Amino acid sequence: MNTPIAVSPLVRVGDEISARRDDQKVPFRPIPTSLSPVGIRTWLDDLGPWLLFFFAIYVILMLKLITFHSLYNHRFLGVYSILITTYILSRFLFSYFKKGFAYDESYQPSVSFVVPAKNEEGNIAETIRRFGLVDYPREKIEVILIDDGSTDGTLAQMQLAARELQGRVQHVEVHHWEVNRGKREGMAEGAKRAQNDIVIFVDSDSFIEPDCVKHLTKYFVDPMIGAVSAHTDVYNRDTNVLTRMQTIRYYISFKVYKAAESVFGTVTCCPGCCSAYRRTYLMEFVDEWLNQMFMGSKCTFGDDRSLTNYMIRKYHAVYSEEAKAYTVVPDTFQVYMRQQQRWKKSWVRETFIAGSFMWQKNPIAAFSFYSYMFLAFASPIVFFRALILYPIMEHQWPVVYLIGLFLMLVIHGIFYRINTGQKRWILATVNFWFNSVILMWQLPWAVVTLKDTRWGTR
Amino acid sequence: MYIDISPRKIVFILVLAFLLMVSVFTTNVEKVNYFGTTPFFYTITTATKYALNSAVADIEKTTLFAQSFFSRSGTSTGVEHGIPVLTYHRIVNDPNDTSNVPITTFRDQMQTLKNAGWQAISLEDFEAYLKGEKELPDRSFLMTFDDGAKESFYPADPILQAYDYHAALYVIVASSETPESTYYLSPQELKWILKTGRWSIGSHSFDGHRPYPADAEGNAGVFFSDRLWLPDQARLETPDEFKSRVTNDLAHAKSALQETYGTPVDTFAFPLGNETNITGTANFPEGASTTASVARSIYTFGFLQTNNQGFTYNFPVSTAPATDVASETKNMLASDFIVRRIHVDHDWNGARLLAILENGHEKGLPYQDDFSRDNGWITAWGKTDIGRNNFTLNAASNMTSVSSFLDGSELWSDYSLDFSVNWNNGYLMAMGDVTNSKTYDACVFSPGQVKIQSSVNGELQTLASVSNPKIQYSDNASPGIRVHGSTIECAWNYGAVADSYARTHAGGIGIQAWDDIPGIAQLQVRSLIVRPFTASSTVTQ
Repeated sequence: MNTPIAVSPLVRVGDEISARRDDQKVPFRPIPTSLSPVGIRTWLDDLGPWLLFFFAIYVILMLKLITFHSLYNHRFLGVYSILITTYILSRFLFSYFKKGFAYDESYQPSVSFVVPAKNEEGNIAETIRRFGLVDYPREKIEVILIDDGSTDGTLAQMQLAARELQGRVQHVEVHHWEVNRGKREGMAEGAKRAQNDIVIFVDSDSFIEPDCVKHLTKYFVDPMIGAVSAHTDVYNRDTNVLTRMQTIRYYISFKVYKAAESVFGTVTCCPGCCSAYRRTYLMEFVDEWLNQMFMGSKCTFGDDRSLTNYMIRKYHAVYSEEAKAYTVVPDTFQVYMRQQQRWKKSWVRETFIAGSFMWQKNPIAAFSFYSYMFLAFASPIVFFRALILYPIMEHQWPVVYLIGLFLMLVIHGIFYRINTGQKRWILATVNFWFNSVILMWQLPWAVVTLKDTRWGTR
Repeated sequence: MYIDISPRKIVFILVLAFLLMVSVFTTNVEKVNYFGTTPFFYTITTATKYALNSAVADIEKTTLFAQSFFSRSGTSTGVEHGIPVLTYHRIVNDPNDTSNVPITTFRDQMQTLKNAGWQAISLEDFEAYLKGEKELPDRSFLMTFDDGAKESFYPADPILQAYDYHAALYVIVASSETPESTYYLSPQELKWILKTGRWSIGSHSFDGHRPYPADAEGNAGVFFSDRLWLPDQARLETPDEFKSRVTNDLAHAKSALQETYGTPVDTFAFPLGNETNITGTANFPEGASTTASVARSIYTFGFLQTNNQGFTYNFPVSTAPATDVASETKNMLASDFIVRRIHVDHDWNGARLLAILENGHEKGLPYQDDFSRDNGWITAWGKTDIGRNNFTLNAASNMTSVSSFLDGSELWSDYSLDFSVNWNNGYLMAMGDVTNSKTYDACVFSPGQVKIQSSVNGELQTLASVSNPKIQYSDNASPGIRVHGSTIECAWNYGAVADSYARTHAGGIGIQAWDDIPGIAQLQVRSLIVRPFTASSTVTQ
């Protein structure tokens, strides 16, 4: 049975789909409606939002022109202001020029899914079940599941789902570790055990779409390409305003920022949710990566960013917008903050590592990279000056700064609205804005607490 | 490089970039064209607010137009009724600003005036009227805004638009050219403001509105009335230097405004000094009058900030020679140069402003005043209070007299004035033929005596002096004055006590009290009646 069971993309969250536990089947998890507008749409349908999008850019440019005089007199602010505008607008520009790859049936490398999991009984079965539904020759699919010392029913769910996969894929294996060794160990173990050409890491709370595999593998026809990031959307986007906000962040960071990096083959992070690696290249540095040390201690998170970093030293990493996956994001502010803090720490570590070799890459890619590095560290300073120092010293509200910040996020919001047809972008943009203001402070905090390698609770 | 540089994408992005650049560039050029160096953010907020208010004004205008079909206006036309001029500075949002009118008050004022049939005319019409070249409807007035501030135009114009009103801005040339000013209208703004047709401009000096050092210590002097300090020569300027400085400023202001805006500038609003109480260092008593004569040689009309102890209305010059006392009065009242204005206070609501304008309107005879309300008594000096059927006049603590005259009475010619008064000290003066506080005829009563005096611009002349023992202090005295033809008569308890045949002009009525000791002159007037003169109004005794 080569034809996968079609999963209707129209089944919505909350639709009643019976979980037939009694008959030892893996429960169904519905997939949210796709974040792509339904039906044939032309740019004319979105003329209004597009005009708004360019109007916002026009206002941003006007603001720059109006404030040029005062910025000119303040070198640091001037550089920051020009750079951040150029950086953000250039992301949209580059992503527009991103080259697409056509899927060629004559090139179908074999793939190995690697899923390390810990205490993920709620999602793991669905994650695995979807490997049986992919639109790819089943004899070219291998699945390696690692239960990394779970204390809940993860192993049982894993075995159940694995049994269901029998016959739908070439080979499934389940590994159980009594004691937790960490995600990096799990990924490395899976990669080493994998037999196939391409290793696809999928997080235990992420779900892939049936045509995800072919849109990942098609890029490996280029021998320079070592890693391909899938496009990951938020699975639980309708839970609350926090998840909706993260939906925009995810969407934009893939569709715009990764796409822009992809133009130069220097995607700096192929995320753990769903990314494919060429196994032969991976094997060159897997042990080095496994034992990565930073500031005297072993690195315990940011495994994906770190792995990508090893890859792009020598090879290219790109982004495939057609390869779709979904991931579950934190729906409480506390958990979200902890996750962001962890990401920020690994960002600091890996950015400095990447900074040591980025200058050898394409000059535009290198300039963008170092600009972003500067901006990330400068933004809390600029923010502090605008919102605390400026009002105290000048007795004036930083209206221009806040409007500028808001407009930057608005163009992201409108871009999301145009590309997804989602109507609730305004609220999410406001939330995005609010969160940017809070999240900006995580970077200095991450630098301070860099040596603290605990995960925090998930 | 995983890049797709298809010509379609390149062209698309180039077109977009071009459009964005053109938009940004055009916006900037247009902004400079219309608002000059005004800061951008100020421009955006002001222009947005102004555009919204103008749109509302358009709707308001339509409804007013519709209403006008159902209401009849009772205005008559004529040439001789006089026109009042209002002085405003800025229209502000702050209700605690005591020198500028708040926007809500201004709106109330304009609405009340409009409903009462008053029409704000253009400066050009006003000039033509004063020159006797044009007749204007009764209840016309001129609105002026001194200094040329942004807050004069932007809040006021939508209201002007709705009511079809006109106004004039008095521009300080140097201030209007202040770079990046959020206070003064820029030349670019003034240009399109003039194009609306609702606004005219006049001169408020080239750069004479700010303080200048008037002594070695740098104490602030008034540009148009003080001799200024010349620091490089360590001396005060000479009177001649004063005159040439003032002449340069006034001539330069006129030519600069005419050149920049391509419109004739014939009027000048005196900034500070002169009749206002801003004195600077007061080191040159002739300063103000020198400025006035210089201004007269350069401009057609000079606007004072207040009515300067005169009647509130301004009258046109007459081409016909004076044939009788009434036409002589008209010549005396006519504005051959000086225009009096009513300085609108920040706390005058619409009703108050309307009452003040109406009070200046010619009153009919007979005229009776029971002092239940203020019918337009203009206090030239001293302190007065009207209410509860009493008109109380008190000299200020450092002055020997108090003087008040009735607005809207200036065109009366043959009449008898009698009033009932509590008089217990000093001198009591019943005034007739008043054309301003210093030009009048009067019966001056003191115990046992009455004098007929005539004053022309403060030059006092005694025409008659008669002793009469009936004239005594009383809680209920009834003094009076009759003026008719060339006769001035005094009455005590309605009986004639003195007369003179040297009357040269007519005018309105007034009351004055005087005492040798400063601060004690006092009168309490209970009622007053003015009747057209007939021989029977005086009982022969």
